[in-house]
Amino acid sequence: MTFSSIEFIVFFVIVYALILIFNLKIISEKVSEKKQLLIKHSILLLASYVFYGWWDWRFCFLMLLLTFVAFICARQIDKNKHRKLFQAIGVIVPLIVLCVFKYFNFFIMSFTDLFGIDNPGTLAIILPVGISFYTFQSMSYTMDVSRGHIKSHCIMNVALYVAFFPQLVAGPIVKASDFMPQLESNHKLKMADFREGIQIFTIGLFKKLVIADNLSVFVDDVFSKPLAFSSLSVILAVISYSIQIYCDFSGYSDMAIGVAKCFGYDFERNFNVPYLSKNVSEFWKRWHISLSSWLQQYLYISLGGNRKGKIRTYINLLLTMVLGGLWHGASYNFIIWGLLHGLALCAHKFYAKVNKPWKPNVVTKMLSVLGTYCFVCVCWVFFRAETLTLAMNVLGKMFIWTPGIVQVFSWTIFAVAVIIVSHGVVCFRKRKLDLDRVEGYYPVVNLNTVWGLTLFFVFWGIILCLAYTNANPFIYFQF
Amino acid sequence: MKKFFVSLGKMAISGLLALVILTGFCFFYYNLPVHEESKTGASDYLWEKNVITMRGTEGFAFAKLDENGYANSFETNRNVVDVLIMGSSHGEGFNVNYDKNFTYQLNKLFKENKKDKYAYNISVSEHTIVHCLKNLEAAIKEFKPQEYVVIETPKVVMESSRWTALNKGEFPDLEANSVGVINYLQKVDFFRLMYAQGVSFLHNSKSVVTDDTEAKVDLEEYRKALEVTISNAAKTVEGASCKLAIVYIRPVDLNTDGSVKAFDAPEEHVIFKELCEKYNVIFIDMYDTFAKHYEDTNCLPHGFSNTKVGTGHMNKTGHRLVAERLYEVIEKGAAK
Repeated sequence: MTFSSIEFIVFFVIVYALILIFNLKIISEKVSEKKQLLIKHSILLLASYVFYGWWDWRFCFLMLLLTFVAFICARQIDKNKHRKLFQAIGVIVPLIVLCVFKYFNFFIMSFTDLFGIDNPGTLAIILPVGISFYTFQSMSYTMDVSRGHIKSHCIMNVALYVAFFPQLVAGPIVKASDFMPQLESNHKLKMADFREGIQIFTIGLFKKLVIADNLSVFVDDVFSKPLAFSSLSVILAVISYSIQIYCDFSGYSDMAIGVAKCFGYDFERNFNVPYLSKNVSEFWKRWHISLSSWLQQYLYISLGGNRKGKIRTYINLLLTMVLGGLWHGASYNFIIWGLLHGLALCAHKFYAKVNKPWKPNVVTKMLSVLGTYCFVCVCWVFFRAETLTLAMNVLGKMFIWTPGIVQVFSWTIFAVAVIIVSHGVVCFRKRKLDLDRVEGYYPVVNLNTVWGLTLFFVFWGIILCLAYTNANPFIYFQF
Repeated sequence: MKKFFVSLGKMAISGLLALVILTGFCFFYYNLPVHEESKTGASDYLWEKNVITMRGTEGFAFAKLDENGYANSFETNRNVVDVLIMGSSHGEGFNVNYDKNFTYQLNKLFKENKKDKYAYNISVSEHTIVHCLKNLEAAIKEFKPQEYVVIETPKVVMESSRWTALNKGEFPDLEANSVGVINYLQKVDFFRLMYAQGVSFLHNSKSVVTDDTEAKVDLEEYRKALEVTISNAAKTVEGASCKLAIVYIRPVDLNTDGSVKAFDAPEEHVIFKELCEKYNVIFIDMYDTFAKHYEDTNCLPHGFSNTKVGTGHMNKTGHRLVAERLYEVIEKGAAK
């Protein structure tokens, strides 16, 4: 069940209607707040398991296992019983689960390739959807309790945090310290939240169905046979992919944020106009914010961060990014992608240290934005190409001008125009171009007015007219 | 309660306003004429007469429909049809501008080369070669072609049952949908697009069950059924003192390195070709022409700037190549 499916709409209406019952005066007066909260959480939890089980019910048990591990470890840590042991279990068990399901075959294949062994003992394992997201969330809970950021919670709350359906399969990776406090209060469904949530959801739907999915036609074609296309087409395909992955993933995040908002829960933004970053460090503060802050908080800092000298800082940075790359998938391409970003972060850190601070003008800032975007695009080639050979073919075509099929894809032009206009609006929102303080926002309208509703309906109509109907799964589901 | 009704009213007004705006948008993006029933049977249905059509879902183009409800816009003084073109949406050419479809291009070539000939196009969407052969007699009766009947088709291999049904006169007509609610709904472009999107979404959402064991075709039975079809068609055309030509517009298949894939013709395809030769039906396989053009120019004859290259309908390059090839064949026939 994806957010852009008919099943989800039916599912959402049912769950929302069930929770809406608690808005009735007769119920809210007769049932205590505590009971209401328990029943609401039970409904949301059950709904989340149905949502997840829709793909493959067997993996619900895996999620349940991780929930129990996180719950028990956090309880023991809170009680100060064998603290270190339970801290370790709370991290190692999810990591083992992740390694078995996601990386086992990759490591075995790499090992056998290296030593020329013919019959690698790989396992026929199905990768559970969203495993990287909920394993990270379960770890986040244990670590936040052990760091004293939150107290341990009841099993119901822990289960709901791990499985909450809006962010379950493709993030954002909500930190326990951000979400758990929200489970303590009784959220009444509010019309204002619903109006805002549904609009945020619609923006995400537009990004996914209209932009990302339409671009996928061209991107998939070029990346499957780059040698057939001209250099111009390949460059356009790489640009298209940069927009596709942004709209696909940020679109999913928007939908998740919107759905959660409808139920009265707040998730932090996961993307904040990343292609307006002036350097790679800034890019990682704007791109997949929940992952980068997770990696920074739980991995980079755990490795020692910048507290153990210059060289260790660079090593920690590089290691964090390589592991971040590997988090996306078990392949050398993701490792190279992470490594390139890690090297760029190190280079930027080094540059910032040796150069005196200076005040760049608008032109310099714009060139920095362009330079960062170009670097990110080159890195995306490794992220998208299925093999290293294909990635090298794409790069070869990009940098050595060669003929081939010329395809100036209309959806690329449309997508670039949408990105330029929307980013332009963000830049000039405060009537003055200030590239240092650009902040993304959701352009929500007042759905209480006729013009607001008209605009909303037209937007939905446009989505339905332009949507690519050959249902593509979200890119980040595979991670 | 009052609040509820006010909200409902606002929603209704907004919905109507939105519908007007979206219909305006669809006028430029997906403006297709409505279907009408064909009284003569030259095609299973016709398009609305004397209207224009615009389409941006696959290519960006506008076309014109003539007084008979077919896609013809070449102006001529000649009042007889020399070449009658039948076919599907490829021949209809709604994905290219009205002056780029192959019938128009062929007429242009006749004019440029001072040939007193006129080609008339009665291709309509969804009309496969089986539909065209079913309608052949009626089409000849209505338009009285003087020299050729050309049938364009993207597919020549069909299940035997289709040929058999055609031979028995049991092959069903396509629905015109020109009555009832559907007739009214198709007049609103937005609803029409919604319908098309919905059908496409449902079609693509269905899980595709792949069966590795190909169903074995009884080639003898296939040959028998097809032979009856082709001999009947040849007789019908001969009766009108014309020649029948079948233009097979197969898209070019590419290898991952961009080179043209060699075509491994299935047995049914070979049988089709043999039977065409046996009954003096001109079989024009465009594959080699398309492939050569691609090798020379890197341009594929199928696909548009908003779709996957090399797939879907023919683009203006494809139409031009078909027109040139047809012209060549017709000229060669005239020289004999």
